[in-house]
Amino acid sequence: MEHVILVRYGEIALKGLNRRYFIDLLVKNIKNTLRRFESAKVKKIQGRIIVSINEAELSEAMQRVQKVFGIISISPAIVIESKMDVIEEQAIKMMAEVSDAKTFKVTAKRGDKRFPIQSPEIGRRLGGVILDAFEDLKVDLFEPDFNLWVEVREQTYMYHQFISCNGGLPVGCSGKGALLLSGGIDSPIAGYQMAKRGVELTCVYFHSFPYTSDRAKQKVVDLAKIMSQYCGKIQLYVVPFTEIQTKIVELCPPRQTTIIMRRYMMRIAEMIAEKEGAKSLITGESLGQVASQTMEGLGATNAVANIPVFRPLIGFDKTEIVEIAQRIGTFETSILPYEDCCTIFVPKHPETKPKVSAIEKSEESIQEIMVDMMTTAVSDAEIIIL
Amino acid sequence: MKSARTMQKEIYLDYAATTPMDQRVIDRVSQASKLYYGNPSSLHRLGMEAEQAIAAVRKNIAKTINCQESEVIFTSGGTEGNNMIIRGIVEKSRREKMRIITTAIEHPSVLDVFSFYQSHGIDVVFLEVDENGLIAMEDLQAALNEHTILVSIMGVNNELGTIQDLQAIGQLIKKSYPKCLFHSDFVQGYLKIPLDIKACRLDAITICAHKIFGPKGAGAVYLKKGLMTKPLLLGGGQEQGLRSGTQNVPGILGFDEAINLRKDIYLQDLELLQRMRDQLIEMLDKRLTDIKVNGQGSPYILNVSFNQVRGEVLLHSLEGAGIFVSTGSACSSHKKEKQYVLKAIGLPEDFKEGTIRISFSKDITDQDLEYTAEQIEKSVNSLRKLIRPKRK
Repeated sequence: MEHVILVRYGEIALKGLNRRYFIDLLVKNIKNTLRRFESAKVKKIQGRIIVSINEAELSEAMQRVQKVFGIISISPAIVIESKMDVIEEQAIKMMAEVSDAKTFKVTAKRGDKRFPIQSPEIGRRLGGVILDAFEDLKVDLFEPDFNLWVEVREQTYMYHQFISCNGGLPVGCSGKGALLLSGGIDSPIAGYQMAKRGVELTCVYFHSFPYTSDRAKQKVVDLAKIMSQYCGKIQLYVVPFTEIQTKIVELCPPRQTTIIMRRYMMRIAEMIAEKEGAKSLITGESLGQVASQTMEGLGATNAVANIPVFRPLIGFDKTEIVEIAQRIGTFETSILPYEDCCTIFVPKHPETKPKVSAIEKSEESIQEIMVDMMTTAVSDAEIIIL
Repeated sequence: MKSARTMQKEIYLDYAATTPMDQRVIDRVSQASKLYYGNPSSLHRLGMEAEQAIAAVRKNIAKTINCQESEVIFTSGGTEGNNMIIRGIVEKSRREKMRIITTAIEHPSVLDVFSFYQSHGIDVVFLEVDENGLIAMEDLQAALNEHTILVSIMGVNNELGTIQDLQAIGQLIKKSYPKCLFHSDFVQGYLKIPLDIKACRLDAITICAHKIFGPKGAGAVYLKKGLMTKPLLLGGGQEQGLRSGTQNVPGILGFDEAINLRKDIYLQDLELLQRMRDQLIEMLDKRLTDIKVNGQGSPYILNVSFNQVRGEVLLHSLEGAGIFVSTGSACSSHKKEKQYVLKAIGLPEDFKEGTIRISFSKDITDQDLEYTAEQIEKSVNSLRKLIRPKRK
């Protein structure tokens, strides 16, 4: 008898000829999330991935596997020899462990057609054995308290729990994207949503000491760490931004500073994207949420990008974003009260309908010095691997 | 002092948050950890030795505050001490109608306990303070009534340095209501400014070690003989049943060492510190406009506001220059309701945002002060330039 986690993948099973690639990637991602578990072994069987692990580490490993994108559901299962008497014995053992069930049902599936007994017959026989062993139990095919699943393959898998997971595609299958990560609530969720569609993340954080403290930076590192449970390995660029930011505030009209600052953030993120082979930028913007996220504002920041900019939260309300943040565990960290560079320089009356031409004109005076400053910022960036 | 990590000049000016342990304190803690590892409650010789060691400290503390040994109870520090006294007194009282009085500018470990009881239906009075952080005697007089069981007023305010007149307060309370108990959070005052508990008619005070170069996690309360409080912690019955839990023997002995290093000289230090504080104020006044000094009293604390600057940014900017100060108190910088003390003294909004607390020790040199003033000037000017740029 052996403990395993039975992993079911959904959408990727449909991907035709690329199927093997998707499954191999999913296996790799599962292996990666379990790299610290010495006993964990990951293998493919027909239509499933099986993670074998010793019992002591099972529940912690399940917590981790659950978060890997590309998985529909998992079940902790027992693996035994495909012999009817062994199966019967195990069925009684598992039933004995649930004392509060009054009704039950057995669902059997014969994957290995060499096994002599057909699926409905396996179910009936196990039902009979269980009824004989426990006097107080009754069969209920529609709403049983306890549903025993039996999958007879080369070996037999028995389980009774279905834990539904996040679905999506295995991270990495959609290429790489550079996420502009702040310490707020939105940007980690934007990264999460794109990773769910298979995007591997390079995160870019703009650090403006002393306007943002080292605690604010630590907060971003902590957020990236939480995200990495879902998104796999994350590269975090900590870009020194103070000089650029102060230059902008010194030399540009106050109403435009936020937009101009964001345009430079996009430019720098794109430089990093190019360096890292990322083919898109990702931001946490949501239409109308703040002054710089009006359609005109987004247009003005968008204008500097040469690669696609994905804004997965564009149509989300704050409450919806908060809900996801609470579910994946970034919320508590996001709301820690350290200043972040977006809030500190916010002008009293920011431009809500900037014209690209006017912004470009304002940028003319700093354009030249910015070229060098941006290059320096990228090369001086600290890279943290999570 | 140089930082081990960055080899940058390091000037620590946050002594009101906590102090580095004196080397002699570190040695004493380390020695005590080796020597007195026995549990003071154990019956054998090792237990007895540890018990005797902390008994000697109890005696030492009692001497410094002019009370009896049995009136000193060891705690883990200021927060526990304040909780223990206030909650202990309120929970012990069986009165149906009771009033408790404190001020609007107490440390959160007092204020939050009072708010807790207020939300549970007890009659709580928070005394207002004037622009210097002082309460008005008339207000206290008016707040006192026959139902008042406790008045808790801090000796030295942790953010402003304001020193309340504990003697006048104590006498006012006891003159009309001798049964009403008087407690003072004296964490920022102990062995920094003088205190006469008898003249102040105090029934309880809270003190701790890490504000006077002692270890963190060690503190004590003085609780007048004959007064019973309900303990927060039940268990082995240590500390006369008032504070169960094995005593922190190394911490207590470190506290002892810290006390010994200060008890005979702290009154002389006062003058030195006063000069230091005055000097820094003068230097800042010369260099900068639109600044405001808040609070008065303790020479150990300088609370100063700069118009049109954000305190937190100024703090980090000074940190970049190797100078460590604080905004308000380190303890409440975690809290959402920031700046309640500054609000209570009625500081105008445009100054409130730009407030830092500089707190001293006698280790600060003239050069340190000069450098600090220089860096504050530099930071404030560059921050003001950015946060209110000239319109074009």
